[in-house]
Amino acid sequence: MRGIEKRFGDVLAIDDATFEVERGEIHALLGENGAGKTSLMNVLAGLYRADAGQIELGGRPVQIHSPEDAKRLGIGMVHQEQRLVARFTAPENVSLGHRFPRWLALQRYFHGLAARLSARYRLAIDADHPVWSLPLGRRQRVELVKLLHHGAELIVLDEPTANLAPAEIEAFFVALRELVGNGKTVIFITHKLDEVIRYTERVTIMRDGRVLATFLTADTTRERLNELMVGATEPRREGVASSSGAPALVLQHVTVDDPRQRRALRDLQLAVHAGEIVAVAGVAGNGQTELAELVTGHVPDYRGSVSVLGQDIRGLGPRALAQLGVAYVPENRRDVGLIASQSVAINLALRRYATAPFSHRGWLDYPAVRASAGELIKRYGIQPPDPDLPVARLSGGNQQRVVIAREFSGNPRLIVADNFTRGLDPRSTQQFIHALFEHRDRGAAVLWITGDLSEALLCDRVAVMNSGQLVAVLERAEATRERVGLLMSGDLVAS
Amino acid sequence: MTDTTIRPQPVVRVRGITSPRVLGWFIGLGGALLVFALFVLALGNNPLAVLQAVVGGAFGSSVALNRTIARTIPLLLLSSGLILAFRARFWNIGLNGSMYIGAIAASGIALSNPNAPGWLIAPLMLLAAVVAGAVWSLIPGLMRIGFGAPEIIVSLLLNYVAARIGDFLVFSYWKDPNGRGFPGTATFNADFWLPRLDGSNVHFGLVFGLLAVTAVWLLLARTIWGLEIDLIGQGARAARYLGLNTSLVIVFVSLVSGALAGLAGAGEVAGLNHRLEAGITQDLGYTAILVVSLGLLRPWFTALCAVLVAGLLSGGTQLQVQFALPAAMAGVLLWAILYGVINGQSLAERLQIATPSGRALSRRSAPGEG
Repeated sequence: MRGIEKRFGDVLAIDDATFEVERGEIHALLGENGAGKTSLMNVLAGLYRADAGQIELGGRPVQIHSPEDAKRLGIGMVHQEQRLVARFTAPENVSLGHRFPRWLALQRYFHGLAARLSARYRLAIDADHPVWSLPLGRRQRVELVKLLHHGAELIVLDEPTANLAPAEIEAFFVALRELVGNGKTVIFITHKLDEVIRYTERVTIMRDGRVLATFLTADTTRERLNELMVGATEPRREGVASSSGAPALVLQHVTVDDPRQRRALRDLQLAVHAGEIVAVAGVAGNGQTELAELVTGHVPDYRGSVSVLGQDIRGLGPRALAQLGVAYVPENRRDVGLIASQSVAINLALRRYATAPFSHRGWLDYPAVRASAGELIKRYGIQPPDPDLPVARLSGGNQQRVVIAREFSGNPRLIVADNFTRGLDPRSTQQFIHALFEHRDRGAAVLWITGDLSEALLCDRVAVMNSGQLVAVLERAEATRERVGLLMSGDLVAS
Repeated sequence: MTDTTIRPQPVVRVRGITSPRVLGWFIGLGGALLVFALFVLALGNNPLAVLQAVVGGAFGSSVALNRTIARTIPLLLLSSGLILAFRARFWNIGLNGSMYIGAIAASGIALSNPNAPGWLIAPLMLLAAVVAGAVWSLIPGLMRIGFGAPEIIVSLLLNYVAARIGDFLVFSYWKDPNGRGFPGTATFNADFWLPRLDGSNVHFGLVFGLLAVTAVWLLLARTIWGLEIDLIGQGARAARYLGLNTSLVIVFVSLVSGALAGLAGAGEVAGLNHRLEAGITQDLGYTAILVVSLGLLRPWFTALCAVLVAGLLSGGTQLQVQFALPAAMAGVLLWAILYGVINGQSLAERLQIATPSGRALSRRSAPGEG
């Protein structure tokens, strides 16, 4: 892949990226969240169309305009969120997307075929149960078998180990070795240094949409990779909390069970006080978003006790908690935090429209809603400054501003911010981080969920989350980049 | 009714998004008329003359106007309730059943108390119809809340149940002994009839219809409950994030849409026919779906479309009388218009998405993680 470029609106997601893989190797694509790894691979798999650049396969230039093209060329991708039909068994899933008419896809034939493939590549799969009942590691193997069946020679895996237990990870890489031994090529996207060092031949590092370098894994060190991946840019450090007040959020032995055992939170203990910012650092998908949903009243079933601003939240819904003074900037702003077809003014008033001066006894006062929106638009620099525009017409960064403006206004006493700087340009990131600290200095408690080490290290304390557990809560002085990073990846167990 | 066919308008009138939609509406209408004209031409008739006859048959004479208004009344009631349901994305297809049940309930009151005073029975008939229609329509709502049952299926099937109940009654217990085998009840005591304008079919139901449109408009455009209906319809996940009570809204919209449909049914038996007959609803419960789709789920525009659709339905009979065309041609024209308008809307939206300022509307717009 040479000179690949991809824009989303005004965001340059991939900037002139050149990337080479050799046949028969396991190649790691390493980078932080948002570095452009998945976008680059989506171009290769035909999901995105590059705005510039070219792709060569086996020395010949190829055109990949659709997943269908990629499939024909022998490129297959296993996505982060799995794309299997949950009710179907493994062989049925393997037969999907086949080029024969569906009625020809006879069950017995595919049963046999799946069995042959899985024997050949030593990818044991369970052919008799619907895939939803299988553990995640097994499901991943089904996806691999499916790709192999469709003739994939070059296999792209997007963070395949994110949801796997350590023992499963080991078995998974044994299977990948087997594939490579059979002449296949594997690219795997990750931000876990440990896996790169242990299992790959070569590694390419991406940051901010750019490819920085490609090394033979044997020639490099973990420290060097980390330095390149994270970069030297350090956000401005804010002052430490002067003094912390009463506890605003207290979690005691909180456990959330999930039948699928993915999103479980296990035995959380944490207190956040008025006037301090606590970071919850972790690799995406380790329970941070579930934690945010729990403390904002979205999880009705949990064990243990959660108290917010001195009140036990059992039975209180999101609305009651918002009225208590809890602000929540959700990770998924577009679907969760905003109503895309409604105007900017309404979206800015979503938390307050039911109260004076925005409504009186149920009658909405639109002039009041618009006037208040006008102020927020000015204060938070929302572009274009038109309160009547549907929020869907704003750019991603400005949509994020709308959510932040709404949640930060009205003097909240507890702010839960889930990766709230994602998608913002550096200057706005700086501006809103500063605003967050101003809220702290005003006496609000802040729970800042972030996957970004540099952001976590700004906070007064850092709680590290891994596999649904808080593995450590560090004071700022103890929270070094190295230590937090290792705790996040699960490589270091807190003493 | 997929997500793209009917998209409720934001409460605050939005600049820029309105004009292409209206434009799309008229382009669709023009396209449908053109296709219909070609169709008529192929059948050997002059399309302009046909159109003129249809419009004349709908609005051209006092008799025609009379018929059109009589059709408009139930459509106003049905469609204003349906606007609420559809705005909340509660796809209630069961208004025909609620209308039927309302007509049955009103008839039951009238037939079982033939000698009671009119000032008591007439309001009681309307009340019974409202309650029965609401309860009937609540069934799919509760099944959706309780078991996640798809309301489209449940409400649709209940239509047939309601129709069979009606059939059963008019063919058996309630059948008019002097009706010479005609499947209908005896005519109600004239004291129970809704008042009419002299010498016309325009009955008191028109007042209810106009009140319903006004109330729905006020609710949606001016109150926080109307706003919440829109919020739940337009952003299910955001509604959960805000902690809005979706179940309560579903109960509300199914009750209101069913109650108004029941009232429409009572209007037909108490205001127009003065008895219950098989097929009393004339499938207007389905026609209302067409009306609200044409009306883009905006109350006053929908009311206008109700008049238009009622006119086409009653004017369509002229096709048979004057041109020996099948009466079903009016239906062809109606559904062609709906098809054209909906496609015009999608087209307008797609064109809008293609422009740079609208890019955020396209599906794959956010950079993926990684």
